[in-house]
Amino acid sequence: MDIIITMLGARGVGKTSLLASMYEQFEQVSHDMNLQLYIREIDQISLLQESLGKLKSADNIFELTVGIDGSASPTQFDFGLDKKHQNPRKKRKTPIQLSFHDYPGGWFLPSSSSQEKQEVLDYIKKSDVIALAIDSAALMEENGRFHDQINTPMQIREFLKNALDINDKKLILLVPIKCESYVKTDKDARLLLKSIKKSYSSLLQMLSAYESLVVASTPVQTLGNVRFSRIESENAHPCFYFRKDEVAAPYKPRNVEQPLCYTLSFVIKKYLEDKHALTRWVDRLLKRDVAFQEALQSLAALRKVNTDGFEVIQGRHLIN
Amino acid sequence: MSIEHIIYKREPLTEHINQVYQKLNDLSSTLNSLEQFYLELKNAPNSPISSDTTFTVVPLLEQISTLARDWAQSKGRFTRKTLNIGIVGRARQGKSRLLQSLTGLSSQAIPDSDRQHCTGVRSTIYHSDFDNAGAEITFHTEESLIKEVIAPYYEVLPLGTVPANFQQFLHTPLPHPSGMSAEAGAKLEHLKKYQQYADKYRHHLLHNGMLKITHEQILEYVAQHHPDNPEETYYNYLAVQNVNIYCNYPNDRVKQIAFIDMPGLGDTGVGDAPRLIHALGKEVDLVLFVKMPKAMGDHWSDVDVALYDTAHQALQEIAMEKWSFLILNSLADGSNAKNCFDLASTYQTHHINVVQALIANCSDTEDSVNKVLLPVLDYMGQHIADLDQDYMQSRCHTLQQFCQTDVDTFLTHAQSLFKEHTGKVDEERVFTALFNSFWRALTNELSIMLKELHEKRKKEDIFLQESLDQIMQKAKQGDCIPSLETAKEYVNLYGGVPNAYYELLHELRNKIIFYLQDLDKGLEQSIEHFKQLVVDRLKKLGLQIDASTGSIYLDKLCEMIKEDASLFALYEGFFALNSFHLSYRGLIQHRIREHLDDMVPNTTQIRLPASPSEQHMLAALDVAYKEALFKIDKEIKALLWEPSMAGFVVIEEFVDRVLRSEDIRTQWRFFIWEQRKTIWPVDFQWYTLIQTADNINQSLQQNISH
Repeated sequence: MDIIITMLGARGVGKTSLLASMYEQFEQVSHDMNLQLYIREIDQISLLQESLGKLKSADNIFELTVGIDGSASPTQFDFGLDKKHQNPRKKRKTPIQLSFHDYPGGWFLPSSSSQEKQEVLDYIKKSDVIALAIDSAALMEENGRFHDQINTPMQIREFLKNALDINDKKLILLVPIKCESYVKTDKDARLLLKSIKKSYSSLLQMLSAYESLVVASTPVQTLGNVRFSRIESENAHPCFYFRKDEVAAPYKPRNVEQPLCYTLSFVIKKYLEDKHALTRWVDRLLKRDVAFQEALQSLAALRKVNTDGFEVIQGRHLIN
Repeated sequence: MSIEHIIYKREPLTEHINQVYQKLNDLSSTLNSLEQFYLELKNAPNSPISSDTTFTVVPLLEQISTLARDWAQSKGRFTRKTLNIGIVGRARQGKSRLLQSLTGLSSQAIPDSDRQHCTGVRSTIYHSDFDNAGAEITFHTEESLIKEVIAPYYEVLPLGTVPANFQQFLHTPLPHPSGMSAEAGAKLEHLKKYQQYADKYRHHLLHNGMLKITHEQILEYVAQHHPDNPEETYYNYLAVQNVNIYCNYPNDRVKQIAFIDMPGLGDTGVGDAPRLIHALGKEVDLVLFVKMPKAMGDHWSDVDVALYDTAHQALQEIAMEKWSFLILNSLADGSNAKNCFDLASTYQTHHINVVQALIANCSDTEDSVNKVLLPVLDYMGQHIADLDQDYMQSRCHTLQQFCQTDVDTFLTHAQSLFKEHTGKVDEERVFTALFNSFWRALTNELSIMLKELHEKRKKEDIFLQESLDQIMQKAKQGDCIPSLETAKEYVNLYGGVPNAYYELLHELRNKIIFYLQDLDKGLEQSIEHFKQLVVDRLKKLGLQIDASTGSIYLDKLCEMIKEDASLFALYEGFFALNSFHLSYRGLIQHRIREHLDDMVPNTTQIRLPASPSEQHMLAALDVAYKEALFKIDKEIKALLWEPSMAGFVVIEEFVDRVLRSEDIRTQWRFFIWEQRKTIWPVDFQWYTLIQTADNINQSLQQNISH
């Protein structure tokens, strides 16, 4: 089964870092579920390793700035989800393929070319999941002064309006990245959620017209032990500075597997309750391997709700 | 006292003279304004001044004019760079010989006047360090020739109306000398030469500037013909106004003496010698009379006495008895020695009053120097200060009289005249109208200002904002975070990284606090700005006071109001406004304190790891510093509107107090009444002008007592 996930978000917000962390943390998160997450393409592996390397080496750095050096061209990461095998390098197709397409921020803005726009549109139509990566600091700091500039909520709204069909069954994830500073306490997390709903109110309102959509908020901490330090303006372009809680605090990501959990929850529900031909395939697959099925469901059950800023905003019945 | 010293000591007096001259001019123009104002008022419809009243400043102006001229001339005396000695004497008395002896010039430059070619051209001899300095000729212009040379002839002879210009003079026929005295006839002949030889000398009259010639050429310009060759005639002298001759004096001591060769008095043919001498009198410090007693027997003749008298009268500036010497020219062969002695003992009985009679051989240099020049110089050295004082004394006295009597009387009269005619009643009526419009304008201006401030009361204060931006820029630019070497030093000094860390936290925090003090400047500027808004409007309404602004102006205004104890409410209003004050300590300091928590060791959340290195420490310090600045910047940016609000509120209170509190209009009225002359000078101009004139008068009298 192919699960297609489109990731949209500002350049340098940390989409690749998220995938890298997710990949790295998977073992830990799913330690006794006997599951494994693979990447097959060599260059994809090296990209993720590079990103991971940067994250981990941040051990020694106290201060980090936002990587403005995000990729300018679309990237794709294909993961395979399977039981743990003795020989993981078998070329056979894994039961579940997760295909992440990461589109650079500029591609869905009015300034992009129609070709670019079309490519994104097409992919969204194919996608099961659309993940909107949100720069949390831009959202929260200085009353969201830089939110519009960096997260472009209006443009995203317009884009999705064109891309979505009224009958679409899709999962839309609002993924605040680098939200360490904003979920330290329960109160903070509730404030984060409130801010998301407020700052994306017109988008959410638009999405509420689509009955088959599930919309959820899944804040992730790709680094952990990090907090917002300050903003410095360099040539009218704001530069967000972060720092560790303590000097040389270790790499400790949190909740990076959650988007995956939500995806699985959604997909399982969608396909189990769908009596189409495809579901039979899934049935066949799942029945064949009860253990795998159970493992998947355990993973899906790890899904957090109503804590740390997680919430299913719309379509609750379509994901439980 | 050396001559240089004498001249040097005269200089300070010129400053005084300048001031007096200037003030006389000022007085003159003020009086003119006064008269003009009077005329305007008189000619205005419904004028309170009746048409038969007279008021004129003309006589006073004339007096001032004379005095001013006089003072300007006396300035000439004190700014001269030389002491001038004038030589007077009849022909062939040895005058020229004396000059030659003293200056080293030859008869080429100083023609002996024992021939008939003497012309009366005035020469002044100056010292020059250069050997071949030559001479400078200044020619008359057509106007000066008429005025200074031709006109006197017409007056003395007399010949009727003076021709208006040179052209006219040439075409005016001169009468025949028949019926005239011999003397007059000779003068007439001389005058005719000016007509006769006009085309020979006329071109000189158009010469611009001075003509430089050599000593040898001098004769061509001062004589009628060459002394040795009567055929060689010259006519240049007719156009010459004066000659300055420069030569290298043989005697160093007299470098700053100039000798003025006076034209021969009593010599026939010279137009108006007394007048010429009078003109010279202003240039001369001391006079030498030269007479050569005849060996065959001589006495003090009428002519001699007349010469003395003429000189005395012509040189009115000078008290002859203190400023002149008699030089008796003794011949080398001693033939007139006894006569010299006789004359030297008897001059006083003929009422010839000089300081002393000196006997010397004028043709002999040594004699001239030792028996004439040196004694004269000594005398001058000893007495010149007193002589100068005497000179000024009479002038000062005249001026004093003028100020105390004439001017004073006049001003008093002017004052009463105007009072009589415009009266107190009118002044009040004028004032009431003016005050009413003042009050309307005041309320209007202040209300508009208040409205503007109200609209802007929540806007960011630009002074504070700019101050903040500057501080942040400075704080970020500076190399506050220590270098690695310094960090290591601190670690060594304080025995460990954590200790050094805390110490440096303290230092950095103090640096931030230090930078923030500058916010006071921004706040101060803001407050001054608010005050200036009020001051601008007050000045616009006429309350100028002086050129000061802001707080200083308000201070002065408060002082002025305070003079009248009954204006309490008005004073309070202004005083409260001027006391308006915002400070960093009151407004900002306590609000930013929590943002410094991370820079205080006890409360910092930026902790070092277990075994911290200097790099860890520096990284932590860097972050702590920058975060603190960021938070403080944010905090202050959130309160930038507060000074605007504060300013608005204070001024609103001010306006309430000075416009709307009980009975305040009356207080304003009393205050403005006192200020009416400065606010409305035109309406109360008469008084102002009289005051100005009086001030000048007072100050003149001060100058006199130098």
